Amino acid sequence: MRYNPRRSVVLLWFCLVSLPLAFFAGVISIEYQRMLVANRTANSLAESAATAASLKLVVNDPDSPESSSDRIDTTEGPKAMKRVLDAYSAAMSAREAASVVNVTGSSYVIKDSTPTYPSYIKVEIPYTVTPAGFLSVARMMLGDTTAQPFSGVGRGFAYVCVPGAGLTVNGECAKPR
Amino acid sequence: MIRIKSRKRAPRATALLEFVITLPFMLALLMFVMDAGRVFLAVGALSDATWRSAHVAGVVGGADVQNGANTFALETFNQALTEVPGGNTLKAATIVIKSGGTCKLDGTGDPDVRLVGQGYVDSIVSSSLVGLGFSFPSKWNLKIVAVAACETEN
Repeated sequence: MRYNPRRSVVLLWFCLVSLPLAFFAGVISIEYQRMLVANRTANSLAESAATAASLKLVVNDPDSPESSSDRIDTTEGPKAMKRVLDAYSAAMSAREAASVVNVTGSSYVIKDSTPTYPSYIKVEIPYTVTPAGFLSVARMMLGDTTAQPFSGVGRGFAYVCVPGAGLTVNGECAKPR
Repeated sequence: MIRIKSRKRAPRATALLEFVITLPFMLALLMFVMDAGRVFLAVGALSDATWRSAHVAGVVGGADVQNGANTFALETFNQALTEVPGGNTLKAATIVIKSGGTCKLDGTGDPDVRLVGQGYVDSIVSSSLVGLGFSFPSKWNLKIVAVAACETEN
């Protein structure tokens, strides 16, 4: 086959532009998938943590188990939430499944919106997703970048009272226990 | 009129051959994209099913609590897979109980339910790549962890 300068240009273009761009696009699409999976996981974890907090929000005196002795203990909710997060963290440490979510904190809010809406517990879990290959490819193509791991916030809710009841114990509040 | 040919064009057969050679690789690339999409859908289905299963297990008193032939947790898991898009691409999908078989009723059980949902998706890119002489996994193994608090802890 004779030397053809046009073919050399095409080959050079293919190797220096098309191939890296195709590889870059592939890596970005995989990272995007990881972000979506991580977001779904973080939301589920937050939902679980919120439910756990709602279960422990209203405490009961064992000596008088009737509902009139129930009381709200706002310190128990965050403890229950943290316990669920710790259980998830333990599972990740034990490598029971591949982890894409790095939980970086948590916040817990009791929203008492009496009387219009049911009261709820909102749990927010900020997280980061460690890029599988994006940063390395970006560094290879663009030089050292300032890119950080992708981040997001997972949100979960748990309703603790019937509509209009608020967070009261001796009123209409339906204890989630 | 004088026509000047500056360079000789490549024979058409050579161009056709080059195109044909790239076809298997393009096909493999296309199949890889399809694999990625199928795996993504399957992961979503597995995630939803596992978390839903853990929540139900926490409510009914543990992942070992029976509902007829199966446990509540497994029944929920199987049911969820039929409802979520991508669930039918999962093979051998099941849950493994890591903790929370029996929730803490009298201080002897677990405070939380911890499940691992697992399964695999057949790789459709594998056959073409293996045909081209590359080694490639024949399936994508998937695992998801889910945790939930036991509702009967008090």
